[in-house]
Amino acid sequence: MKLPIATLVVLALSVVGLAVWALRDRAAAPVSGYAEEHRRFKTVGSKIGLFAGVLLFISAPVGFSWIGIGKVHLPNQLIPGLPMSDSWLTVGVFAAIYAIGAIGLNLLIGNTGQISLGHSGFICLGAYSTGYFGQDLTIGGKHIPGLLWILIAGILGALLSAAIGPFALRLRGNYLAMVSLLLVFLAQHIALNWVSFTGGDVEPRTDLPGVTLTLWPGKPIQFRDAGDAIFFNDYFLKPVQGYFWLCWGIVAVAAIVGRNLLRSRQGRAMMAVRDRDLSAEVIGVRQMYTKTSAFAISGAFAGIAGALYASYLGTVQPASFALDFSILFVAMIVIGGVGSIQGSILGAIAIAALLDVIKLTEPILSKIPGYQADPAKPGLTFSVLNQLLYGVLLILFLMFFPRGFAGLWQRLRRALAGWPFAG
Amino acid sequence: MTQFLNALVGGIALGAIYALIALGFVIVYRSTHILNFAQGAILTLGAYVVYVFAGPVKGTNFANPWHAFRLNYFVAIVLALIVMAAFGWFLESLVIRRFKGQPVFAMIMATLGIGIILAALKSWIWGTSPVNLDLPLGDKRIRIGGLNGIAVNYIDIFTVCVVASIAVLFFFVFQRSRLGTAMRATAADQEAAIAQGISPSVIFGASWALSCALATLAGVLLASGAGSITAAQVSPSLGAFALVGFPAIVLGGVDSPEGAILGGLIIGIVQTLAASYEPKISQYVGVSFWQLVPFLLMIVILLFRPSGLFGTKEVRRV
Repeated sequence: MKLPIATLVVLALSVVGLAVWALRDRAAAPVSGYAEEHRRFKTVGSKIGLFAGVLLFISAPVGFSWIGIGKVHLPNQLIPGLPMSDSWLTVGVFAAIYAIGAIGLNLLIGNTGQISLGHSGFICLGAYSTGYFGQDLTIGGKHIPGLLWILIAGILGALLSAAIGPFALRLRGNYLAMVSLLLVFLAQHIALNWVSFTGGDVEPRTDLPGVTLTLWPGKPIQFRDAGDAIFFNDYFLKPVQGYFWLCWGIVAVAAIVGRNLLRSRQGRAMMAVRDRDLSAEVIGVRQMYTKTSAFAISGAFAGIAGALYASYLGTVQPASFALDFSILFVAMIVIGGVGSIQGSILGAIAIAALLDVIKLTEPILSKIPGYQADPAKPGLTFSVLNQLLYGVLLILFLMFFPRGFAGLWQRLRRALAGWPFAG
Repeated sequence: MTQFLNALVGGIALGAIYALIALGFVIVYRSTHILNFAQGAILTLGAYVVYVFAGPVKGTNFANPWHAFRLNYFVAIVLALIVMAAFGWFLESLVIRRFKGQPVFAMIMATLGIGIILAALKSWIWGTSPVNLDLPLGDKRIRIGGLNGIAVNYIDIFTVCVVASIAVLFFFVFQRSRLGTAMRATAADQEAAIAQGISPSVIFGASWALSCALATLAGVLLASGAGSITAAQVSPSLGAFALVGFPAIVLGGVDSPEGAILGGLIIGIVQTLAASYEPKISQYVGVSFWQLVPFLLMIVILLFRPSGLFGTKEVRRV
């Protein structure tokens, strides 16, 4: 379908106009009081945004076939022409998995102020726990249900992570960051040496389970073994389509849990500890409990993210859970916005999509001297450029937009509210 | 016994390198209160810069325009030290200065970001496969006490001599010279130092330059095979050794140069001993446990003596 340029321009202008109108609404008035602050939808824009988000969530993997428009799955299409292609859906799945981990880490770093570089240790734990609870363990000859072992991974992560809490009571800032390095090394060491369970790095185990959900008896939905997946009146789903819904569904739950936490007593205690832990203790915030529970929550999210990661890939290697993986998560919350739930999700999407966005620019990129198509050779390969851009983004955001995408969004809203006047 | 003494000798050499790395951490931490997580990347970059000047092993045909110099090994090290010191100054004035007075988290992330960028640049220019330096000392060694006696590598002797002379020079500069006094003054009280006509930005730049030069020296010594648990190659994995500088400074006290040197030596010896007895202990604690030893030691020190051996005790006021 080809639209004339004029139609496109009119369409684009009206979309922009609608967005400006929606954002302007109420954003101008300063928030007065808790009731205002705690409204579900502060602007019309947030309602439209939620609607668009839900629409995107449902239709990204399958298009609009569920209301009778289009085919089930069109290959090689990008975001505007839903549904997304497989490679972009894969990016979406990883973005969701990263987002779950990033929400957990942001609650710990952004809201409780405890710097941890040990996140990949808990993700490692969650990933390998699926091997036992999803695969090795059978009760009466049957595996336990998918959502249950994901939950168990979260509980295990929470328990281990809570054990770090007491350390955080004695160590702050730089020291805590140094200690958290040990977590990464310890997790990797165990994963490498427990060969009978993990397979080490020579023969990593490849039987990590895919999720199976039984919503109604006799019709289990297997999210990874595509041959058995039946859904939507006998349409077949690929694993990536199933996992897109599963992972983003869990992101939604995680975001609601995180937001509720921040709106409650516990969240305010966390922020008090972040701002000044001694003063918080003086006004009656229990430091030990607050720090330990913040670690536990962050570990739980990391465990769930790890379980989904392992379950989507089917196999993981101990080397995947190196320090770089932790740094990736911390970079997500910096780019997305420290202390913000939406920020964690935005940052996760940005980091997950970076490599594929770079691949889109190949026609331009291949003209740069030093461009190297072969990833094994020295030169400007995709992965090198990905790493370079990710580092540069991290530094630039820290220097110029320390509140990340979430802060930029706030500034945009404020700018639109008073337009054409500043402020 | 021979095994123990061999490990001890290797451990002293490795510890000397850790001492250099830890000294770099301490210098930066004292002046700017930043824990430099980019030290690993800087160390590796330094080793590669030496490689640029010294060139690959003679006879190997390596068509990379980045090394046409083929200078003498020692000349190349001196040149690389100068280049990397300039780089450190540049890094401080371009990036680090903007993070002055910001929360610890922002500073840690900034140095991590620098590390990521440097690692990407290195794999852009040199790829990820290790390269060999043309080593004049090679793997020559002297033996003490017959064929089953202790073997001491020349490069280990060279390392210990270099580090010892640098340590003496450093303490002389740090205690006696104008620059050292200015550095100590800035660390003690920045405003008072400014009032005495000391420019903090010069001090910060100088500390980063010094720290980068020390990291470069540590990198090239590691890449030359000093300390016996490393492969004598320049490779991206060298950066992992810089992280062991953290246990070293924690042991010595994060703001104490003499503590950094002692801490580095102790950590190096303990780690080499663990590596040496690996075949005996690996069935209990797993393969390559020696990589974990310094960090386990660090936890113990932090829990029982957070200020380390020589560090000043942290005092918190409400």
